[in-house]
Amino acid sequence: MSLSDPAYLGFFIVVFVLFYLLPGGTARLLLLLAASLAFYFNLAGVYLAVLLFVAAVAYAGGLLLQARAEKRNSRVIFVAVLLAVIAPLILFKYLGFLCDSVSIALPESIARLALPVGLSFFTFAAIGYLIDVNLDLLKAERNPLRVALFVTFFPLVTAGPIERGGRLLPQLDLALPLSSDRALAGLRLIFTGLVLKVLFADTLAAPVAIVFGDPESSLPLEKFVAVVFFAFDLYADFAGYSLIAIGCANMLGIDVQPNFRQPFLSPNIPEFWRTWHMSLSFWVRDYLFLPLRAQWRRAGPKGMIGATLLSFTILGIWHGAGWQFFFYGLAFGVLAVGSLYTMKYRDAAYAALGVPPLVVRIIRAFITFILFALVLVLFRVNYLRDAWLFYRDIVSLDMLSNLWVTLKSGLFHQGAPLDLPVVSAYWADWFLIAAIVASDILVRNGVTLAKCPVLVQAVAYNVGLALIVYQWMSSSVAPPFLYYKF
Amino acid sequence: MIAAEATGQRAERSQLREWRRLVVVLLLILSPILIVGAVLEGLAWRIGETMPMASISRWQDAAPDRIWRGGDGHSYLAYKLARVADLKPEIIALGPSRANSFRGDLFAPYSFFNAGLTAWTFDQYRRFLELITRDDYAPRAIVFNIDYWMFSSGFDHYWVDRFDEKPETHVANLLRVVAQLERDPWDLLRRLPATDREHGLFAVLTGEGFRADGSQSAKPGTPDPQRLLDDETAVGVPPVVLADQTAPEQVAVFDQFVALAKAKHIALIGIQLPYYDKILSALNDNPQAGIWREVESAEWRQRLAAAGVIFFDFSDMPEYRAKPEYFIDSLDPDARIVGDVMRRVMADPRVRELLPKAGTPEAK
Repeated sequence: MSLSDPAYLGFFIVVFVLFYLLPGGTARLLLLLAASLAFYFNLAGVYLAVLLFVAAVAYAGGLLLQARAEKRNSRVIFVAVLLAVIAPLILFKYLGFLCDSVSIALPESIARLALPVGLSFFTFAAIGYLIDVNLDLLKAERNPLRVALFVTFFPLVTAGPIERGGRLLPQLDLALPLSSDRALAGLRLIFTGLVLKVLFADTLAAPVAIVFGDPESSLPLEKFVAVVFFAFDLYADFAGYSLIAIGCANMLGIDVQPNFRQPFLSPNIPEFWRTWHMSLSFWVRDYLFLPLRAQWRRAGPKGMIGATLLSFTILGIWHGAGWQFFFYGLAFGVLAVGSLYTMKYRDAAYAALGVPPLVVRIIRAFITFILFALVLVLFRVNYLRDAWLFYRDIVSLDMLSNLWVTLKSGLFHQGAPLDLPVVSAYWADWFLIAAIVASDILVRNGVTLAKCPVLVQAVAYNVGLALIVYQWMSSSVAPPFLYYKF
Repeated sequence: MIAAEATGQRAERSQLREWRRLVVVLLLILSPILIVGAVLEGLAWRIGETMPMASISRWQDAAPDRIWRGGDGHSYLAYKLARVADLKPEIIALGPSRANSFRGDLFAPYSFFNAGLTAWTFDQYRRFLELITRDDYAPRAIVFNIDYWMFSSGFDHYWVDRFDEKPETHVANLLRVVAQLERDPWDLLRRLPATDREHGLFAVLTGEGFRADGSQSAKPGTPDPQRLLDDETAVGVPPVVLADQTAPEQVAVFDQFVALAKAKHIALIGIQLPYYDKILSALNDNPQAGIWREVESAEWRQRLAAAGVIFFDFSDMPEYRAKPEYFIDSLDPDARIVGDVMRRVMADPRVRELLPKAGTPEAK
């Protein structure tokens, strides 16, 4: 039951109605906790135990860190608590890779373990909470139910946004009465999220899967187009998921931080990461980059570069165990450092050439997007060798020399004769991409659906919903969210 | 205390107002899609595509000329099971499309139902039998289609997906109507008056479907004889497969079906219906068709007889085999041939002994 499933929406409606029928406080807390555990059990079965373990460690660890009497032991306690909360992440996500890297065979029972859905997300939420308590930025929560709900809250447990204890825990009084305005605002977010996921992401995913599934047989231009499509596919998928999650939380009276803010309009890589998967990048910034930079301040620019590279590399490895994720993070680190230290020269060059600011902004956003999309290849491939195939073909002039042949024979058709449905679907994909960019520009300029005339809203909601329902009915299984594997 | 109560009541009233506002706003904004959805549901119901099979069965009982057949992809198993559950017939016909034309007239006064187009393999025959006999009911006899290829190795592979015991979902049925509306909305809407007599998308669109006795109705008319030569049916193309001999695993499955029937005290009448000349000649001439010759042999008939199956081989009826006007396609004889076959079957002493009242004045 993923968040874009009709079954999930049915489940959510029941929870929503029951929530507001119950009095605020413990009754609602118990309801949401029960719903969250049921939701996770439905998704992950017995791996619910892992979620409960992380919640238990967060609760006990928080109390322990707060109660530490002697300063001398506090570091030991903190490290012990952190190791305990990270242990499932190591076991389920990284142990196999680490053992492979040093050629140690894992026992069959451990090698067979699947990755619990959302493990990286709820573990990071728990770690953030423990660090905040350790730094006395947050008082440890004494009510185990509230900590349990903080870690397991069903709209966020599978793929975030990674919430902070200081932001979410105070909202768990759950005393707010029903507000139709808030509920409608939440519904709008859910609707937008569903449009992005069901109509945009799931459509763009098809040609992407063809090329990434068999990179050796696809043409160079196909690879490049698939890379561009994948960037939008991932954006629509993850931003769509995030909006559904945030909308559901809003409807229950819980305000959750945004996860995306028109990232493809960003003029450079550092800015991009301030608008893409914000809950993770801010987490890495606050709990990793800033402490590292403070630690290495004396080293000057070298310290800054080191902190940036290390933070981005860890951000990459957060996504998965494998060298491709290591290089994925490292590449962004290099790009961020490069962007930072070349900024003034580039600014000077644009000024000297007299390029209008709007054009500069467009060029920068385009270059940032292309860089992001190219690095994203590392995120999508299963093996580094496949990434090499992409980069080799994209960088080589073969792509351009075969441009006409490729276009003539039809993209995503692997050289077969031109097929009209394939080509028309391909143009529809470009239309979807244009729609995503256009809507981002409108939103950035303050034009949102909620501000449009009621008639325009009604048309958009009805047409969008009809298409979503049709898509639901047509596909027997809803494709899972791409970030579920983390 | 009173003040607190008043505050509580005010809060309750305010919550009610919020609920009401939320529901009203949603209804107003989404009213177009809700109306379209309701119309679509009404249309699908009127066509009979989304009606539960028990309702279809009752609807068909109310008038003898009513036919039902759902759109392509609609499982006929649920329909045929519902009819069997309602009618509790004494004789049931089983088989692929070749069995579509078995009708009840000749069996009267015994009640009859044609459950054809639900089972294609012996294993599916057995599963169908299990399904209908779950609650003490058992027919007196099963008339089943038997073809040599059913004994070939791997034959199940071609038909394994066709026998679907999962109930059709409302959404799948509704989608068929939506797909038809996408293809040609006016054609469907124009045919709506026919839904008084025809239910199910296929029946409404073609005028053909399953009669109340389960047999398939066909439109009158003279088909083009060339179509049998042009159709893709050929020896070597499934189901008309080639093999050196019968496959032991298929024979074993057949034996299981026979054993289950025996255990339920159900007589089995197996009939191999005629093939069109194109198929028959190719089978007779093909050196790789050892399985065909084995099933046609006297030893094989003895084996079936020993198993208690009353077997009739009408695969070669010289008076029809080269006459395309008597065939729907190369493998499907039309109702006239099947009627002739059934008259011959009913005249057989073994069948007369089994169904002594059939064809007697009581039948009139």
